[in-house]
Amino acid sequence: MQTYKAFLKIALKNYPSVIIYFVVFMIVAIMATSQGKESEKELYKDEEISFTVFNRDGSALGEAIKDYLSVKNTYVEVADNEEAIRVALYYRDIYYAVIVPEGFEEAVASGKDMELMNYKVTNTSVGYYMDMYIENYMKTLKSYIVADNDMETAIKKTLDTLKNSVDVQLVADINNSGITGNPMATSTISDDKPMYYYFYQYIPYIFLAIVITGMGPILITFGKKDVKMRINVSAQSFKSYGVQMFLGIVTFGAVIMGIFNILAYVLYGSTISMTAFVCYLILTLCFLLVCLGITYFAGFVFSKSDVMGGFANVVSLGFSFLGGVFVPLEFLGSTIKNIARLTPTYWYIKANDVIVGVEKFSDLNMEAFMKNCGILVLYALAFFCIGLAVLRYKREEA
Amino acid sequence: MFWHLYKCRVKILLHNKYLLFWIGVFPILLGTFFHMAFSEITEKSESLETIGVVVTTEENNTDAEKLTKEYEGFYSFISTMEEQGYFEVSYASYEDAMNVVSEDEADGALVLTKTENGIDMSLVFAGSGMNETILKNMINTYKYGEKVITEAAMTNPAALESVIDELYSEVSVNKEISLNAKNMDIYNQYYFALFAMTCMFGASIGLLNTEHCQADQSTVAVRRAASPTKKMAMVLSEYLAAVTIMELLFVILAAYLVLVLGVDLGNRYGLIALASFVASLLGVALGYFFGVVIKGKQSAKEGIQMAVILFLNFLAGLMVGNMKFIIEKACPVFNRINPAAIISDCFYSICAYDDLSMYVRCIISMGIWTVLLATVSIMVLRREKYANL
Repeated sequence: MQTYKAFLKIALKNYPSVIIYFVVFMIVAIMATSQGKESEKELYKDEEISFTVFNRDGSALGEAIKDYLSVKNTYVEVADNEEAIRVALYYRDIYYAVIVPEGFEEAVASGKDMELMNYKVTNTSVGYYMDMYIENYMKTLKSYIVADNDMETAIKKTLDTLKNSVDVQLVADINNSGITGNPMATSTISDDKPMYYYFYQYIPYIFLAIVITGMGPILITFGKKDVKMRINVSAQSFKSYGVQMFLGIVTFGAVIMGIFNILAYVLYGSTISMTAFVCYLILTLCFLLVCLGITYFAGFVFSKSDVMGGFANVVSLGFSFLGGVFVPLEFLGSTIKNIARLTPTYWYIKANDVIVGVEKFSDLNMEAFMKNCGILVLYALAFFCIGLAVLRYKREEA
Repeated sequence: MFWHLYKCRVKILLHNKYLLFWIGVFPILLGTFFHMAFSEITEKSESLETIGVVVTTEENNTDAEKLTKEYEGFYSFISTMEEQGYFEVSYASYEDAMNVVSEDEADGALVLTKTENGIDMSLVFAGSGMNETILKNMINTYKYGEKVITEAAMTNPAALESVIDELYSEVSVNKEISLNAKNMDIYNQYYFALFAMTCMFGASIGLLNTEHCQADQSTVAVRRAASPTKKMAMVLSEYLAAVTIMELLFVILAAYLVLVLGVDLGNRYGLIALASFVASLLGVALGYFFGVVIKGKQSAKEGIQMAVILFLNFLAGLMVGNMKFIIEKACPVFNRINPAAIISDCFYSICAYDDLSMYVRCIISMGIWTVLLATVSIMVLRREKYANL
């Protein structure tokens, strides 16, 4: 088992770069999974917009506007200067800043036209929505004032009126046997995805990075001319060498798969169903094969570890940005989305969308799942074949 | 001699494929990935879209369109919204409407129900979102108006006309104040962080230069230590050569982003060039600093330097866009001293602001960092003596 031992020795020597990727992954995955929700039942809720109010009038009306906006949105304290507002808007800490100008309450009470000032990110739906939201309040309030109510009563009546909102239901909650639409559609539209979804979303990035940086140098070492010649003249048969190399690759892959799936189970075991977990095992195995295929091919193309490091970064980041790992597929442009179909990560993400929320095998869209996994296996085979072709070409050249 | 050394160094650096890849090619690839991923995200996630509404009714054998037209006020409201481009209205049977919503072909279904006093309405959505929230609020606008008018008619009929005038008056209640900010696209932040990363990767050239002038680091340095060339001339010419290469690579990157990818960096190219020059001075000086302060093998120095640079860039928003803002809220001082944050702030100020106060502050901060790092490096380099070579 000398070859197998040498394989593992070289693998262990590369651990610092692998650990760096592992740490990066954990930071990114933990930050991303914090977006996930553990809510059991999905209910409709309005978008919460972060805003601020500067009550320069110091009036009760200014406070009432702030209270009204705070009912469904999030009030954020921001310093009352243009620089602070600009920074907060740029980083979307707030989307809207209302300024209640001096003398506003007096003007409204006396029926004069005076505007509320605002800063916002222009030409956005949020900006438009907040304008409309405030307009509802002001127009209702002014209507009560022209109907001979004093300011205090008008504020009270306005709040009462605006409490009566139109009823909202979710299509999934409507118990109507006549509906033939896909009841799972809500899970793809809603943002309330479980945490494990986001964890598994980042797996392609880390698998590509770790497998190429971790295993690439091993293949390069074994591919070196002197090492190859030494192996050729040794007593070890070619078959034994091949089997041991294969075992090495399997061990490497099993360790990577084991670590990340155990981690997922430890972190999210309480929210993930056994069916979904088994599906993830199959999916990560398929993607691991793709990573091994790419590394196998790259191992024959490149002859320096430095180059392999660059290749690992370009491939892992490129496939991740393109294939919907870092940015959800629905946000990609149509041309980019078409290009994305050429990347294996795209099919992995599609499969992840199929698995999420599955409780038992009958819930699973088996056809879509098998199709996505099948495409991944075909990718792996293609990369292995290209690798073999490169190997053959190089041998002939030699 | 100075210019001869300078020319030789430029040639040597231009032949170093490893450095050219990481400082020249890698940022271009990363910029391309950013562009692919983020170019349409703002438009898709933040811009105001026409909202698809399918109007329906639960009443059997009742046509939703006919029912809508029966109620003049409501029909005129719906029509106005459609004319102004806010709604795209269609009519369907209840079952079809539910299917349309669940298949995401419309944002929501407006369900009408006949009542004694008129019509009642409710909404059905497939999930939560901005379009759904806006649609709900628009329908509420109609409902509130109806309620206020009914109430006025009952309690104060004399004021009814004024109430209706007030509700439907065209006088605006909101006025936007321009921020004097040019580009508010948050995803541009990634390009500024990319510039910061590129300039700080200049440290790799600085580190290579120190390897070639410290006799305990390389054989080339041993030969050079034995030559009569003045050390100061050697260091300065190489430093200048490194900054030249950095500037060249930066210009290629910026030109690629602007001309090929169409990234909006404004048109103040002079300010961008000055910022990139000062940032390159800082980046290369950082490499000299790591090269002379850390003792040991070149590979160890490279590893530590790269870890520090990537960590500083992470905190400046290279991997997570709003990281710099999180730090700005928690510990703003750190953003004032983190070189990566200062560089990205500098480019951000050029593209987002008209006034130059933030830009000048960033240039001064970069200058201070450069002088500090260069002074320490020169002091350590000057003291180095070798008992034997």
